[in-house]
Amino acid sequence: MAQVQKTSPLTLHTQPDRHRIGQRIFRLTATGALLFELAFVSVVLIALIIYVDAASFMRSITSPETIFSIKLTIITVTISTGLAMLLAVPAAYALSVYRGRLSTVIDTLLDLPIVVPPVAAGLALLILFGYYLGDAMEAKGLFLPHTQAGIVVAQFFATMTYSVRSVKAAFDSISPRLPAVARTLGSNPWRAFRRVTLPLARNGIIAGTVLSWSRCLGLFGPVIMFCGATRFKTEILPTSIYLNVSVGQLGEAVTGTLILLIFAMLTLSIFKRLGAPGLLFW
Amino acid sequence: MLEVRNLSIRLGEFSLHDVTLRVEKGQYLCFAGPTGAGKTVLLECVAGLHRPDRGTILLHGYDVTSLVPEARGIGYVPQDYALFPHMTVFENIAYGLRERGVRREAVTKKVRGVAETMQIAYLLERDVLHLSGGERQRTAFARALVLDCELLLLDESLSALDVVTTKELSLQLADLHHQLGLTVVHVTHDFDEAFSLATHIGICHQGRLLQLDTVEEVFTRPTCRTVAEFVGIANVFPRLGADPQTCPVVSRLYQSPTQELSGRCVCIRPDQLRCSRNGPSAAGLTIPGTVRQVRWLGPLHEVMLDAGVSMIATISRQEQETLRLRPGERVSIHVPDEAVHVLDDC
Repeated sequence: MAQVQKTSPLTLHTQPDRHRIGQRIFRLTATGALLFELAFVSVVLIALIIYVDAASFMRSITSPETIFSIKLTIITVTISTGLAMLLAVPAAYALSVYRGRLSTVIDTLLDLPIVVPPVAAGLALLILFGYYLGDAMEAKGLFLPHTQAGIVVAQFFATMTYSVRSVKAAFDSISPRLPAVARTLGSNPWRAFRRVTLPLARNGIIAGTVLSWSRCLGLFGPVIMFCGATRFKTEILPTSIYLNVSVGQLGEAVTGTLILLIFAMLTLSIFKRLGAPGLLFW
Repeated sequence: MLEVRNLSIRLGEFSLHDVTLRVEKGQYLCFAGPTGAGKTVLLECVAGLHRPDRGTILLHGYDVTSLVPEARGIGYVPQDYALFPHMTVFENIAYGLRERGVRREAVTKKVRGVAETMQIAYLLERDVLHLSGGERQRTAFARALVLDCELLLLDESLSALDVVTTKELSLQLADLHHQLGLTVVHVTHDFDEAFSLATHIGICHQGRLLQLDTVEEVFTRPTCRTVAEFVGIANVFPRLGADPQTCPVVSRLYQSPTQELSGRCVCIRPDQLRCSRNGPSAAGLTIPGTVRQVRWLGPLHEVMLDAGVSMIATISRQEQETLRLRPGERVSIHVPDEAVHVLDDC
């Protein structure tokens, strides 16, 4: 005689406590990991904030060196972001719309500045603009290594891929039928781009600009390799932090870090606001 | 008005082979066929959105094959309507007029006029993202019609709507076609939609235009099996050498004295087959058969029959109430002479 099955298929439903415990453990595991990360970030930030008192912070922030590095940072970051976005819009459009046999190769090449270590990117720039083109460019008064113009080039090189990727995502989300219909309604390709594609990609472009700006802000590796760290010359905020730490002026270094953090939080909040649902076409 | 000669194009997985057609002014041509038949590609070539690999497109007798879309002056309504989401209904409709440099007052007047014709005047200031499917469709039509184009291209424009809205809009579309004297080329995969709107129908299949003719001609005299099946002719019988042993019904059909049956296939519309409990009743062929299944299709009943080969007849609800056909019953299947149509291509 066949053995009677002892466990009914309904057994699972007859043990609600066991289920509830399993569900609770699952939820605790997920939220626990999240809380740990949140706590870690908060503790690190608090450690920075409480390291300097208000008086030292004010003294550091008003020092000529800090003011110089803030000014230089904002100027170089703004110029390099502007340049990156100026090229990113047409480049991202081409990448999004025109697909061919070489698309994958082009895609990979453009991604290289993201995956190459920042110091290696700086070294590559130094080799190109110092070793190969240095003499020729110096003869024309355009020597880039160890100059403020070089900072812009290093920031541009390290950021351009981010800019192109952000804007491409915006172009990818636009149906190709929209500019096509605009063409049948009488627009030439430029008009269709300006009146249909560009306004629809506007949020993506703004988000890309914010992202590129914040990325440039914290760049250190390529800048120090390509432009060095000379006080009152090529001293942007990340370089200033490095220089202050290397001579034991931790208070000044922390002040610089806090300034960078304030900028980063501002740009992040703008970025999140643009990415929030319902604000895509305002 | 529109002429396409030997048009061929390959676009990824889609391709068109040697398509030739002619659309006269005022015609309503529907391209029908299954998904992937190449209908949309053909329409986009006419709109100027793709340049064909080979062939010529003539508009009013002029070669427009290399002409950019903005210079063709053709109205185009794509499948998803492609309304500009960052513009209001008014701005969408006014887009083409503004691109043509029409003065502001004239734009307003024209847009309001078209919106009233399309019954969307109350929506003009509304954001297109908050419109219903029918409202979006009317806006897309208005945007194309406001430019007074003589040729209007519609790509599956009624397919994404509910039944009631589709019916309402297809009636309005038919009215507009008559009132404005428009020439319309309309792509659809819906057989009923094509037959209810079109004066002419082109059947596309696997990148080829199989048949292009008047609705009546395509409906009653399809040229090949694919067209026959697409227009709803479920009874298509290959000749099979007309061996009475293997297929007595087909053999008898081919021996019909009043038809010159030289083709490779015989097809009979399901609505032309008659079922009865008596013997022969009129001129034509009467064959015995058994009812296999009766399916209710609303106003019609579909009767699956076994007469040596499987046949399908559609009968009205009244006929079924009289006959009360049940599976397993023996019936006489009457095939009128005029119902038998021979296909050269099977």
